[in-house]
Amino acid sequence: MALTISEDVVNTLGSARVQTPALAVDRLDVPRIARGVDNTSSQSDLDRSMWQKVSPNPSLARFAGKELDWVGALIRYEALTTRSTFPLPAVLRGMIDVLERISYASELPEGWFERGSVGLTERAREAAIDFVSLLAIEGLLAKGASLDVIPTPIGGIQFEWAGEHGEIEVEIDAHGRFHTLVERPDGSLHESPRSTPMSATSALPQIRRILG
Amino acid sequence: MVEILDEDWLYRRLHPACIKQNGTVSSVAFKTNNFPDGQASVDLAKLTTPIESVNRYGKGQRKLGQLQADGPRALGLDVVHDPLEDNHAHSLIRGVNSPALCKKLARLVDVLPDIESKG
Repeated sequence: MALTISEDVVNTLGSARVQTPALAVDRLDVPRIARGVDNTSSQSDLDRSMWQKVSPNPSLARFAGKELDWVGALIRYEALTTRSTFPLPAVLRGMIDVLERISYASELPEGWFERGSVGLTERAREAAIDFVSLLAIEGLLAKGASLDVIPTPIGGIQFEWAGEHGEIEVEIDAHGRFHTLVERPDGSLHESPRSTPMSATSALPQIRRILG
Repeated sequence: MVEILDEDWLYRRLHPACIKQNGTVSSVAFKTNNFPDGQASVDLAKLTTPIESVNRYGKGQRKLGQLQADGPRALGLDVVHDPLEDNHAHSLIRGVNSPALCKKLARLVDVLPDIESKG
């Protein structure tokens, strides 16, 4: 679902002009994104400070203001930062970029890749959006490492990082389950057992090891 | 049935979403419909042309990747001719049953520049 911000929403939430990309966001609860911004902090401190104040509560977001929380947060943050010279923090830019790619994947039709391929399932999409929130909070979207987000022909989506310590693929399958494949610098490949999916949080240490 | 030699080239149609930002092919390109009991469809290059192959089935914006048959075979996979009624060049890479194999296969693929389907 592509979001556009109506004038009413902008008037309600702030007067700043915001360029918000098309997002498929309806599960992120970030209403306090702009609070506590310390203009004396460095950019990385600012990122950290901001994300520590984000409520990573997707189940709450399901029933809350949904995308308006997110859009409103963007607007309030922009309203604050446009008074200074701060650009959007790297983590926020990274998050928007990844969410756009999930949005693109969720719009792929049946047979998008070849005969029999299916589009992103709702369970995979929800798991992917929660995962993005987790990555942002953990500071893994602001690392500047190469990240590709690629839909799979079997209804899932895959996050791929290449870093100085190897490569990692985190696949979210059509059922929203997580699988990893790690390539170490010596070229050896290590995959999580397909029959015993892992949790999103258990993939984080592996991502950190790759990114250094 | 046509014998596929190790030095024969194979074409794999690619959706642009399967091509990474650095221009290489993601393992996703081989996570096929029945994964992990997968077999990947390819075209035997000597029985078709890049333009014909990329435009087969009429889907737009497809790219074309190529790899040599000895690559999958060195990974322990079978490469066999499997002609279809509407595609005599159709062939299969059989035994693509793990993410690691998908990644190794993807590494073998070069994306052909300036080849894109019309649709």
